[in-house]
Amino acid sequence: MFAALANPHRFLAFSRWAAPILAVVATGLIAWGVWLGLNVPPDYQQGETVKIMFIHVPAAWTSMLAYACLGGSSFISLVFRHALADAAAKACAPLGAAFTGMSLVTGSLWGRPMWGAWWVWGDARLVSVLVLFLLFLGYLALRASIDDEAKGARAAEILALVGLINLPIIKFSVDWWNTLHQGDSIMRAGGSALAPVYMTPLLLAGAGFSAAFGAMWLVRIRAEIWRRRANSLALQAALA
Amino acid sequence: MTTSPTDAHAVVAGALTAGKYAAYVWPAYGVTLVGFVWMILDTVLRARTWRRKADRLEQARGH
Repeated sequence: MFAALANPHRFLAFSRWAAPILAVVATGLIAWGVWLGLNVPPDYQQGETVKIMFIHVPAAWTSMLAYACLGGSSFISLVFRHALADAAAKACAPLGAAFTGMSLVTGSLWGRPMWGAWWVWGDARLVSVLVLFLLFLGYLALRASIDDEAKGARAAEILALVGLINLPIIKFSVDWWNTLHQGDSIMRAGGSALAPVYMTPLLLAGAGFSAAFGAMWLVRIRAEIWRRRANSLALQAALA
Repeated sequence: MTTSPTDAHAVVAGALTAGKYAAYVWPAYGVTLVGFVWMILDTVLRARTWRRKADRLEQARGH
Protein backbone atom coordinates (compact mmCIF):
# COMPACT_ATOMS: atom_id res chain seq x y z
CA MET A 1 0.00 0.00 0.00
CA PHE A 2 2.78 2.45 0.95
CA ALA A 3 4.65 1.71 -2.29
CA ALA A 4 1.48 2.44 -4.27
CA LEU A 5 0.92 5.72 -2.41
CA ALA A 6 4.51 6.80 -3.05
CA ASN A 7 3.35 7.92 -6.48
CA PRO A 8 2.11 11.53 -6.12
CA HIS A 9 -0.81 11.00 -8.54
CA ARG A 10 -1.99 7.93 -6.64
CA PHE A 11 -1.50 9.78 -3.35
CA LEU A 12 -3.59 12.72 -4.58
CA ALA A 13 -6.36 10.33 -5.66
CA PHE A 14 -6.23 8.47 -2.33
CA SER A 15 -6.08 11.54 -0.09
CA ARG A 16 -8.92 13.22 -1.98
CA TRP A 17 -11.43 10.87 -0.33
CA ALA A 18 -9.41 9.77 2.72
CA ALA A 19 -8.92 13.27 4.16
CA PRO A 20 -12.64 14.21 4.30
CA ILE A 21 -13.53 10.82 5.80
CA LEU A 22 -10.87 11.24 8.49
CA ALA A 23 -12.10 14.79 9.14
CA VAL A 24 -15.69 13.60 9.67
CA VAL A 25 -14.53 10.73 11.92
CA ALA A 26 -12.33 13.17 13.89
CA THR A 27 -15.16 15.66 14.38
CA GLY A 28 -17.51 12.95 15.64
CA LEU A 29 -14.98 11.36 17.98
CA ILE A 30 -13.78 14.67 19.45
CA ALA A 31 -17.34 15.95 19.97
CA TRP A 32 -18.36 12.66 21.61
CA GLY A 33 -15.23 12.36 23.74
CA VAL A 34 -15.25 15.98 24.91
CA TRP A 35 -18.98 15.90 25.68
CA LEU A 36 -18.56 12.74 27.80
CA GLY A 37 -15.45 14.30 29.34
CA LEU A 38 -17.31 17.44 30.36
CA ASN A 39 -19.92 15.28 32.09
CA VAL A 40 -17.61 13.11 34.20
CA PRO A 41 -17.89 13.35 38.00
CA PRO A 42 -15.17 15.45 39.67
CA ASP A 43 -12.05 13.48 40.56
CA TYR A 44 -11.69 12.85 44.31
CA GLN A 45 -8.27 14.57 44.33
CA GLN A 46 -8.27 16.90 41.33
CA GLY A 47 -11.89 18.01 41.36
CA GLU A 48 -13.19 19.62 38.15
CA THR A 49 -9.68 20.13 36.75
CA VAL A 50 -9.93 16.52 35.56
CA LYS A 51 -11.89 17.96 32.60
CA ILE A 52 -8.60 19.31 31.27
CA MET A 53 -7.36 15.72 30.89
CA PHE A 54 -9.64 15.12 27.87
CA ILE A 55 -7.80 17.72 25.80
CA HIS A 56 -4.36 17.73 27.42
CA VAL A 57 -3.62 14.00 27.15
CA PRO A 58 -4.95 13.61 23.55
CA ALA A 59 -2.86 16.64 22.49
CA ALA A 60 0.22 15.07 24.13
CA TRP A 61 -0.41 11.68 22.48
CA THR A 62 -0.91 13.34 19.09
CA SER A 63 2.25 15.41 19.43
CA MET A 64 4.25 12.19 19.92
CA LEU A 65 2.39 10.52 17.03
CA ALA A 66 3.26 13.54 14.86
CA TYR A 67 6.93 13.28 15.79
CA ALA A 68 6.94 9.54 15.04
CA CYS A 69 5.45 10.38 11.60
CA LEU A 70 8.07 13.12 11.12
CA GLY A 71 10.88 10.73 12.05
CA GLY A 72 9.51 7.90 9.87
CA SER A 73 9.02 10.17 6.86
CA SER A 74 12.48 11.67 7.33
CA PHE A 75 14.03 8.19 7.47
CA ILE A 76 12.29 7.12 4.24
CA SER A 77 13.27 10.37 2.57
CA LEU A 78 16.92 10.10 3.62
CA VAL A 79 17.33 6.40 2.82
CA PHE A 80 15.18 6.05 -0.30
CA ARG A 81 15.44 9.67 -1.49
CA HIS A 82 11.71 9.80 -2.00
CA ALA A 83 10.22 13.25 -2.67
CA LEU A 84 6.80 12.37 -1.28
CA ALA A 85 8.32 11.25 2.03
CA ASP A 86 10.10 14.60 2.24
CA ALA A 87 6.80 16.38 1.52
CA ALA A 88 5.17 14.29 4.27
CA ALA A 89 7.89 15.23 6.76
CA LYS A 90 7.63 18.92 5.92
CA ALA A 91 3.82 18.83 6.17
CA CYS A 92 3.95 17.10 9.55
CA ALA A 93 6.12 19.53 11.51
CA PRO A 94 3.77 22.55 11.90
CA LEU A 95 0.94 20.28 13.06
CA GLY A 96 3.25 18.56 15.51
CA ALA A 97 4.41 21.92 16.87
CA ALA A 98 0.79 23.04 17.31
CA PHE A 99 -0.27 19.88 19.14
CA THR A 100 2.82 20.04 21.37
CA GLY A 101 2.13 23.72 22.11
CA MET A 102 -1.46 22.86 23.03
CA SER A 103 -0.21 20.07 25.30
CA LEU A 104 2.26 22.40 27.05
CA VAL A 105 -0.25 25.22 27.62
CA THR A 106 -3.11 22.97 28.77
CA GLY A 107 -0.66 21.09 31.01
CA SER A 108 0.46 24.36 32.54
CA LEU A 109 -3.18 25.36 33.16
CA TRP A 110 -3.73 21.98 34.83
CA GLY A 111 -0.49 22.14 36.82
CA ARG A 112 -1.08 25.57 38.38
CA PRO A 113 -4.08 24.59 40.57
CA MET A 114 -2.74 21.06 41.28
CA TRP A 115 0.96 21.71 41.91
CA GLY A 116 0.88 25.42 42.67
CA ALA A 117 3.22 26.14 39.73
CA TRP A 118 2.71 26.96 36.06
CA TRP A 119 6.03 25.33 35.16
CA VAL A 120 8.69 23.24 36.94
CA TRP A 121 12.12 23.20 35.29
CA GLY A 122 13.20 20.16 37.30
CA ASP A 123 10.38 17.98 35.99
CA ALA A 124 11.67 15.56 33.36
CA ARG A 125 8.28 15.04 31.67
CA LEU A 126 7.68 18.78 31.23
CA VAL A 127 11.20 19.50 30.01
CA SER A 128 11.27 16.53 27.58
CA VAL A 129 7.97 17.72 26.04
CA LEU A 130 9.42 21.23 25.76
CA VAL A 131 12.39 19.66 23.94
CA LEU A 132 9.89 17.98 21.58
CA PHE A 133 8.34 21.40 20.87
CA LEU A 134 11.81 22.86 20.21
CA LEU A 135 12.64 19.93 17.89
CA PHE A 136 9.57 20.69 15.76
CA LEU A 137 10.49 24.39 15.66
CA GLY A 138 14.14 23.55 14.99
CA TYR A 139 13.13 21.32 12.08
CA LEU A 140 11.05 24.12 10.56
CA ALA A 141 13.71 26.78 11.19
CA LEU A 142 16.49 24.64 9.72
CA ARG A 143 14.51 23.95 6.54
CA ALA A 144 13.67 27.62 6.15
CA SER A 145 17.18 28.88 6.85
CA ILE A 146 18.98 27.06 4.01
CA ASP A 147 18.37 28.50 0.54
CA ASP A 148 19.01 25.21 -1.27
CA GLU A 149 15.73 23.38 -0.59
CA ALA A 150 17.25 19.89 -0.97
CA LYS A 151 20.13 20.65 1.39
CA GLY A 152 17.76 22.22 3.91
CA ALA A 153 15.55 19.14 3.76
CA ARG A 154 18.51 16.78 4.35
CA ALA A 155 19.76 18.79 7.34
CA ALA A 156 16.29 19.01 8.88
CA GLU A 157 15.67 15.29 8.33
CA ILE A 158 18.89 14.38 10.14
CA LEU A 159 17.78 16.60 13.04
CA ALA A 160 14.38 14.84 13.02
CA LEU A 161 16.04 11.41 13.16
CA VAL A 162 18.33 12.41 16.04
CA GLY A 163 15.30 13.81 17.86
CA LEU A 164 13.55 10.43 17.79
CA ILE A 165 15.54 9.52 20.90
CA ASN A 166 13.32 12.00 22.77
CA LEU A 167 10.16 9.89 22.31
CA PRO A 168 11.14 7.07 24.73
CA ILE A 169 12.56 9.71 27.07
CA ILE A 170 9.14 11.41 27.18
CA LYS A 171 7.33 8.10 27.66
CA PHE A 172 9.57 6.77 30.44
CA SER A 173 10.53 10.10 32.06
CA VAL A 174 7.95 9.57 34.81
CA ASP A 175 9.49 6.13 35.59
CA TRP A 176 13.17 7.06 35.33
CA TRP A 177 13.04 10.25 37.37
CA ASN A 178 11.03 11.62 40.28
CA THR A 179 8.57 14.03 38.71
CA LEU A 180 5.71 16.22 39.81
CA HIS A 181 3.89 14.98 36.73
CA GLN A 182 1.81 11.96 37.57
CA GLY A 183 3.08 8.54 36.54
CA ASP A 184 1.68 6.40 33.76
CA SER A 185 -1.93 5.58 34.50
CA ILE A 186 -2.98 4.01 31.19
CA MET A 187 -0.22 2.06 29.40
CA ARG A 188 1.46 0.54 32.43
CA ALA A 189 2.25 -2.90 33.82
CA GLY A 190 -0.72 -4.28 35.74
CA GLY A 191 -3.33 -2.52 33.65
CA SER A 192 -4.85 0.94 33.59
CA ALA A 193 -5.37 2.82 36.84
CA LEU A 194 -8.00 5.04 35.26
CA ALA A 195 -11.69 4.43 36.03
CA PRO A 196 -13.80 3.54 32.94
CA VAL A 197 -15.83 6.73 33.39
CA TYR A 198 -12.65 8.69 32.60
CA MET A 199 -11.05 6.17 30.25
CA THR A 200 -13.86 6.07 27.65
CA PRO A 201 -13.94 9.83 26.88
CA LEU A 202 -10.15 9.97 26.99
CA LEU A 203 -9.79 7.22 24.39
CA LEU A 204 -12.51 8.74 22.20
CA ALA A 205 -10.86 12.18 22.29
CA GLY A 206 -7.44 10.60 21.75
CA ALA A 207 -8.66 8.76 18.65
CA GLY A 208 -10.36 11.96 17.46
CA PHE A 209 -7.23 14.11 17.86
CA SER A 210 -5.21 11.46 15.98
CA ALA A 211 -7.78 11.33 13.16
CA ALA A 212 -7.77 15.14 12.96
CA PHE A 213 -4.00 15.11 12.69
CA GLY A 214 -4.26 12.46 9.95
CA ALA A 215 -6.80 14.50 7.96
CA MET A 216 -4.80 17.73 8.18
CA TRP A 217 -1.54 15.92 7.42
CA LEU A 218 -2.98 14.47 4.22
CA VAL A 219 -4.25 17.90 3.09
CA ARG A 220 -0.89 19.53 3.87
CA ILE A 221 0.96 16.87 1.88
CA ARG A 222 -1.41 17.60 -1.03
CA ALA A 223 -0.59 21.31 -0.66
CA GLU A 224 3.14 20.54 -0.72
CA ILE A 225 2.76 18.45 -3.88
CA TRP A 226 0.93 21.34 -5.57
CA ARG A 227 3.54 23.83 -4.33
CA ARG A 228 6.33 21.79 -5.90
CA ARG A 229 4.35 21.37 -9.11
CA ALA A 230 3.68 25.13 -9.25
CA ASN A 231 7.36 25.94 -8.64
CA SER A 232 8.42 23.46 -11.31
CA LEU A 233 5.94 24.89 -13.84
CA ALA A 234 7.02 28.46 -13.01
CA LEU A 235 10.65 27.48 -13.61
CA GLN A 236 9.79 25.83 -16.92
CA ALA A 237 7.87 28.95 -17.98
CA ALA A 238 10.81 31.18 -17.03
CA LEU A 239 13.26 29.06 -19.02
CA ALA A 240 11.02 28.78 -22.10
CA MET B 1 -39.21 9.01 26.71
CA THR B 2 -38.53 12.66 25.91
CA THR B 3 -36.18 15.21 27.38
CA SER B 4 -37.76 18.50 28.39
CA PRO B 5 -35.99 21.79 27.62
CA THR B 6 -35.42 22.21 31.35
CA ASP B 7 -33.67 18.80 31.55
CA ALA B 8 -31.51 19.63 28.50
CA HIS B 9 -30.61 22.96 30.08
CA ALA B 10 -29.60 21.18 33.30
CA VAL B 11 -27.45 18.68 31.36
CA VAL B 12 -25.61 21.45 29.50
CA ALA B 13 -25.23 23.50 32.70
CA GLY B 14 -23.79 20.41 34.42
CA ALA B 15 -21.29 19.90 31.61
CA LEU B 16 -20.20 23.53 31.80
CA THR B 17 -19.66 23.48 35.54
CA ALA B 18 -16.04 23.76 36.61
CA GLY B 19 -16.53 25.33 40.04
CA LYS B 20 -13.53 27.14 41.49
CA TYR B 21 -11.31 25.74 38.73
CA ALA B 22 -13.23 27.43 35.88
CA ALA B 23 -10.38 29.94 35.47
CA TYR B 24 -8.09 27.03 34.48
CA VAL B 25 -10.49 24.64 32.71
CA TRP B 26 -12.03 27.05 30.18
CA PRO B 27 -8.79 28.75 29.08
CA ALA B 28 -7.43 25.24 28.45
CA TYR B 29 -10.40 24.46 26.18
CA GLY B 30 -10.06 27.90 24.59
CA VAL B 31 -6.39 27.37 23.75
CA THR B 32 -7.21 23.99 22.24
CA LEU B 33 -10.00 25.50 20.15
CA VAL B 34 -7.73 28.30 18.92
CA GLY B 35 -5.05 25.72 18.08
CA PHE B 36 -7.48 23.66 16.02
CA VAL B 37 -8.90 26.71 14.25
CA TRP B 38 -5.37 27.86 13.32
CA MET B 39 -4.36 24.40 12.07
CA ILE B 40 -7.53 23.95 10.00
CA LEU B 41 -7.43 27.45 8.46
CA ASP B 42 -3.70 27.31 7.70
CA THR B 43 -4.03 23.83 6.19
CA VAL B 44 -7.07 24.59 4.02
CA LEU B 45 -5.85 28.01 2.84
CA ARG B 46 -2.38 26.65 2.02
CA ALA B 47 -3.86 23.78 -0.02
CA ARG B 48 -6.28 26.08 -1.84
CA THR B 49 -3.58 28.66 -2.67
CA TRP B 50 -1.08 26.17 -4.10
CA ARG B 51 -3.69 24.19 -5.97
CA ARG B 52 -4.91 27.37 -7.70
CA LYS B 53 -1.36 28.44 -8.54
CA ALA B 54 -0.51 25.00 -9.95
CA ASP B 55 -3.74 24.89 -11.98
CA ARG B 56 -3.16 28.41 -13.35
CA LEU B 57 0.39 27.58 -14.44
CA GLU B 58 -0.77 24.28 -15.92
CA GLN B 59 -3.41 26.11 -17.98
CA ALA B 60 -0.90 28.78 -19.07
CA ARG B 61 1.44 26.05 -20.29
CA GLY B 62 -1.39 24.48 -22.30
CA HIS B 63 -2.08 27.69 -24.24
